[in-house]
Amino acid sequence: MSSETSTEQTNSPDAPAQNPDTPAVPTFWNYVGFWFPHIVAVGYAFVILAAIGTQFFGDELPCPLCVLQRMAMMLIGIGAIWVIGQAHKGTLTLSAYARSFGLMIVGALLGATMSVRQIELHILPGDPGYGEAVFGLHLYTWALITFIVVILYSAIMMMFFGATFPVVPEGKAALWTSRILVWLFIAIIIANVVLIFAEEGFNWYLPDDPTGYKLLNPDLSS
Amino acid sequence: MDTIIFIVLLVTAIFAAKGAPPKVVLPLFFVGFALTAFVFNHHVTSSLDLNF
Repeated sequence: MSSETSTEQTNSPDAPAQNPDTPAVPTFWNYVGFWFPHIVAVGYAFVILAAIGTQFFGDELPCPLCVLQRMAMMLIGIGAIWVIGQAHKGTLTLSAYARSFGLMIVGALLGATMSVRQIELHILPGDPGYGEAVFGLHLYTWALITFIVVILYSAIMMMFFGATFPVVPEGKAALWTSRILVWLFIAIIIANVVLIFAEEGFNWYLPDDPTGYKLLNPDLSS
Repeated sequence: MDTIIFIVLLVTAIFAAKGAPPKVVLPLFFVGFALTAFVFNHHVTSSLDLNF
């Protein structure tokens, strides 16, 4: 407690100097703390990639609430890749590590609110739901499960805060693996910029029940 | 608005991946968060063509 307090007082989170929070001899759990944020970011990258696949191969345009849940997933991923970015740069401190988990929880709570809203829209008996079910559950229900998992993950990691303080593994293979995974997540955001611009066109909001790409066909009714 | 939010999230993600300081990442994050919440509010309170 006293060492953490002194760190908070004497080191700015963005100080580029040697970081006293980094353990002299990293343990297995320090590497777990480094790779877990990758799993969060890449996990969400694949979830959104699957949703994009459904958009093209299942011919299901994402509804406004689906798009908003993608945004919440990206907010969570940003919290995760900030840990990675700071760890690479050598500026990650315990307080910065905690801050990233805070961002992830904030993003997950926003996403969970949206998922619950969408589940409630289709809660009446006989309602088929929006889109096709995957393994018996609709995508927004799966999204809610992932948001709850992120909140649990963040809580557990914060319980074992010092022991899991991320340490970047040595070697070029780990460095490049990390960079590729982070840029995969960013590439998914770029793909969404393009796809949602095509769907929304030059309108402020997506229609409640989209039927096509407004950028390509501005005369679409909905 | 959705496209603008994704652009804000993209810029935030690039800064976060570079390990930018909190004074850069946090404001961008919360701008993205606030815009997302604003659009969510719009869709929650907009009229839906429901038939029962």
